[in-house]
Amino acid sequence: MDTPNIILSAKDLVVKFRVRNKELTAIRHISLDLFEGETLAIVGESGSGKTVLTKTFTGMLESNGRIDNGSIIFEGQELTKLKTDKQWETIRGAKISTVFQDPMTSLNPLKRIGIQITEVIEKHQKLPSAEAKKIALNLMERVGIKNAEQRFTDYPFQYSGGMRQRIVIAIALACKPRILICDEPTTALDVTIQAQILDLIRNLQREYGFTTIYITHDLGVVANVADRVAVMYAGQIVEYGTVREIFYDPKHPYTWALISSLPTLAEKDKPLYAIPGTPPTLFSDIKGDAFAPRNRYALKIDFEEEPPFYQVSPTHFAKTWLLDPRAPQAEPPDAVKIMRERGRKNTKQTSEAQQ
Amino acid sequence: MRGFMKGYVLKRILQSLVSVFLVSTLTVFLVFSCIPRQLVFKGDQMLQKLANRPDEYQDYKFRTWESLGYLDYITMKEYAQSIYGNDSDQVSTALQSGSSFYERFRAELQAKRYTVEAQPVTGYLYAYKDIPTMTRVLRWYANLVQVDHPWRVKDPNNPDLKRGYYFTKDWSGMPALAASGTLYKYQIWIDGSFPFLHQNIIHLYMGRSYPTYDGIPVLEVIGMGQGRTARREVTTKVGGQEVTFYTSIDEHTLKYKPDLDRLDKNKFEDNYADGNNIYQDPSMLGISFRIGIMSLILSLGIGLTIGVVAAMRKDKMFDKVTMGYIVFISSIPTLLYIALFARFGMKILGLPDKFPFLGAQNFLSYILPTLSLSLGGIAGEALWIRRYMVDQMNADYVKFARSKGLTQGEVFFRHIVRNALIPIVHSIPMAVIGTLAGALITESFYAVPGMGKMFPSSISDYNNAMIIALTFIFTFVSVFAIFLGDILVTIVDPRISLAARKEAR
Repeated sequence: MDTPNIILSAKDLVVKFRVRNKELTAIRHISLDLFEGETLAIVGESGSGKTVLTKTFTGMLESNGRIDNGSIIFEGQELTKLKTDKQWETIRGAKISTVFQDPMTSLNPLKRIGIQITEVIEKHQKLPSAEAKKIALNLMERVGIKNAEQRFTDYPFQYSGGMRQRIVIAIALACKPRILICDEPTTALDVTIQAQILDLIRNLQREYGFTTIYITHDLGVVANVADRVAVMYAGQIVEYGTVREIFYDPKHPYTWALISSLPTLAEKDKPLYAIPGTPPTLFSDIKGDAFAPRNRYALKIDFEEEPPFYQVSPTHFAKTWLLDPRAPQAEPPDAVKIMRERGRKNTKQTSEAQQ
Repeated sequence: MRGFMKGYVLKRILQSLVSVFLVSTLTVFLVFSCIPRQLVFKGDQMLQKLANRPDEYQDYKFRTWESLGYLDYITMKEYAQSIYGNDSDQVSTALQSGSSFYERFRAELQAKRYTVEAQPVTGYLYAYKDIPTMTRVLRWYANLVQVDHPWRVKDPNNPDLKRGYYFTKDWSGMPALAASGTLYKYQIWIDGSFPFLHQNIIHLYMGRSYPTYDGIPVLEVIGMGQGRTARREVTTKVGGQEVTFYTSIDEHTLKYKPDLDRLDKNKFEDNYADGNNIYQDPSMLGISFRIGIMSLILSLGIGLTIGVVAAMRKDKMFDKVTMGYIVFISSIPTLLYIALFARFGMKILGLPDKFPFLGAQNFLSYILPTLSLSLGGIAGEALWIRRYMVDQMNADYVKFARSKGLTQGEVFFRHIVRNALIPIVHSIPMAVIGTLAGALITESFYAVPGMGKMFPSSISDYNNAMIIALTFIFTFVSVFAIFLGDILVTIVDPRISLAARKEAR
């Protein structure tokens, strides 16, 4: 397996917001490499900074937010230096697109569907409207809209939720972007439509060869679509690795806690597991490991010093003192053990199948 | 879809008419039943002059009530005339004291449920009967629409009156359809004033004004010109000869006049010699509408612009100044900022701070009232559009449009403004029609002879017909303005269709 190309690389990124005259640090020293053609899932609870992180890739931070430190290199270009809409013009919507959570409200209710698609084509590819329409119709068919010609002039309210998400995806892909950021693309859809939309994105990814970033807190979606997973907590990535590594052999206690709270792993007649406590406030400096106060495996050092990343495998890293050779052996929760077992069986089956 | 829309529109029109009917019926009912009839004389000078002539005083009061529709009134003389003929000697015989006609009058009219009383000095009898309130309401509606036709004039002194329509030219040489036998001479004509094609066939009659603007139909009071009469030179043909004279008569209002005097015969070939004057200044309605519509255009133009810009520069200097202005205007009393503004306009710009100084003819008279009226309008429009814009700015589709790579400006003008305008559009017809009602405070401050004062003063003057007519007009136009607003919204917002029954996918 040859090393894939890095398409986007964030180094030591810090993002701060000014809220009611106080400084809030939403992203705390994140470094992340995105490989060409892969699907990366970013998971974490609300407020962990998933969305803020991806917003820095398209310069969509709210006006009170700023990148305080670090760099983002995309195709050799330093994205943190781009300030105005004009400078972002060639990136946003053209090379990096975003699909948002709620398709019901992502489209302008007063504009015809067709115009909302051709608008972005005309903007970035500077094509005459007749040609833009041709491309738009083609896209609509690709994302699975029947009689596209007819529905081109419809308004969003004449589309169902799933159909609208297809249109949103068509708009995001209109300029053949290199990276597609899907910010909880299926949260607002019902389960059957969810699967259709995920399939659609996967098929289109195969066809167009773009890189996908999923932001989600639905671990089911992650297991379905992702190649790699990054787990975020309180503005930091605490663990990342391939999807198998994160699900079958997690190392960070926060990842353990997440997996323990999966309802599918719960035992009958036992209460569902919930992570105790709340995430720390991001207004003040966090000392040590941010998860320590909620972590029953926390060591004394977790409260004093921030852990470094420990390498588990060439692709798997975790930011916890438990991996330090000096740390005592911690017994992971039952749910994680079940997952480990499944992982082992799975590997056996695949190797048997290969034989 | 269009078919559904037609059905809906018809239904709405019907509903509107029903609500107008209900409101005006209630008003007629309340005015006639709750206001004591004695109060209508409060402002009548004539009655005070008659104070020491009891017979005439009594007669005047009852005739006035009769004309206002409160009661039926009949004197002994009238009754005798109706029996013996107008000029019969028997009439004066009947009225002599001790005549048996007294007994007859009393008996016959009491049989008809009249109350019979004697005049204090002469002792002549008179009879009256109250008209029930419901009948008054019905009569109001029965008289509302008056249709002119060639058999309308019945003049016993002119049995040879021709009846029928013919084409002619009016005094300014424009083609017109005229008629004989009708009340009005000109039935349909064209001229240079809005709406260019005019008619006299259908008139609305809502009673006559009393005690203010005594005797004039109320619609004419608010619709006729004001100020001095405007005279112009007219050349017309009388008896085959060209005559030229100066007149202020508006030939289009000429009505049938039974008795022509010598002056009339010099000017007119036929019996249509009774016309209204042309005045130099516009009507109350006209002046209020001029000021109102100009200030509405200013309010929308300036208010919407600064509101949109304030939303685009939210929390920046421009936004703060705009918000400061809005808070200032809405928190201090209207009269105070109008007074401040008038002082500024007079001292610094040298504009008249009272409308009558330069009069309705002079453009300068309108400037300060119009601007004063816009001060509040600008604040209102700016406040609402800014608020709707800010609402829309946080909408998901705006985020998505930004992520498509559109610049802030493109997102604003292609996506946000139209969404934010929808609620504003809905209120525009109402605002346009609202100008007809006039602006009470501004108009009284600048002494503008407009509509603003009409409603309050007609209430304090007990001008019942005016109260009813204004209520009817304002209800009618408001209900239809709201309806018009709803139709406008369906044009700008595809989600709303008037075919409410047929649900979209």
